[in-house]
Amino acid sequence: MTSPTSPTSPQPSPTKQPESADDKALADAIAAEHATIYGYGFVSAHSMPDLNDLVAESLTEHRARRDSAIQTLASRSVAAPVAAVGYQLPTPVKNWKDAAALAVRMETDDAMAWRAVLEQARSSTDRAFAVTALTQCAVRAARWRQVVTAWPLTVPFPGGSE
Amino acid sequence: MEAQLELARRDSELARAAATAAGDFYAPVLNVVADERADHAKALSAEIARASGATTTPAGPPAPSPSTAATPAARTDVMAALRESADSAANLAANLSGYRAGLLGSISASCTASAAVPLAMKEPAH
Repeated sequence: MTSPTSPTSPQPSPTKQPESADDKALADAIAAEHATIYGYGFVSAHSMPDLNDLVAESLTEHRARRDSAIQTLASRSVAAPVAAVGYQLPTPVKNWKDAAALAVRMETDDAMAWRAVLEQARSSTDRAFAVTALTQCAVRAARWRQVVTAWPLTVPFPGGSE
Repeated sequence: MEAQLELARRDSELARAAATAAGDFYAPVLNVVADERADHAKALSAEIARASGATTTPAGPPAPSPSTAATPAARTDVMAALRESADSAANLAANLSGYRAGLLGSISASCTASAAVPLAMKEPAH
């Protein structure tokens, strides 16, 4: 019988707050992904049934990315931000069109966060992960712009300010 | 970086030529691709000039491509070219750092998005 002070299961090693520029950027991207996952709940609630696949795929993609990024920080014994209790939506969501516009905005914000990760990263593995994330956000943003019939569907520098 | 600049110019010209030959549905899409790849070329030129410290005058408009092509590029050719460019930029981004990595990542993402969404749209049946 083990005492509570000597647990049998592996315990997480003590974590520190992100300090380096690359860890901070990754933590910011995780926080952005938490907000997006929350926001997609509203998108899902207001979307038309024919958008179910797009909503589900988007949400799955963001969850997988957030979880991978949390793993990366954990492997460096850096604490990842946890999801907030609630989030203020940037604009009210009253119908499917508001919902799709919110999705465009969230994908755009996430692209910016991942571009920052890309610029601060110190390994090619981290940079490759960030390029994939940036690309997936750009593709999702284009799909949601198609839903809101915005034109053009693409931007020349996703996540960038060029 | 110079190779990325060449790819951006190549894709822009390819898309412009394809737009000229395309119908009403795809021509605007191809023109957006041509514009965005021209924007990429501009940003890459600026970065190359900045890094070399040169105050070179920006290059004039690209020389008109010889009009020898018997069959203009198709939309699918542009998609293939963009996918190639996206891979090339992504690989380079992973091996550079700082602003250059970020710029190439955005360019790669842009190329993939154009190939995957607007160029992949189905023309509505009339």
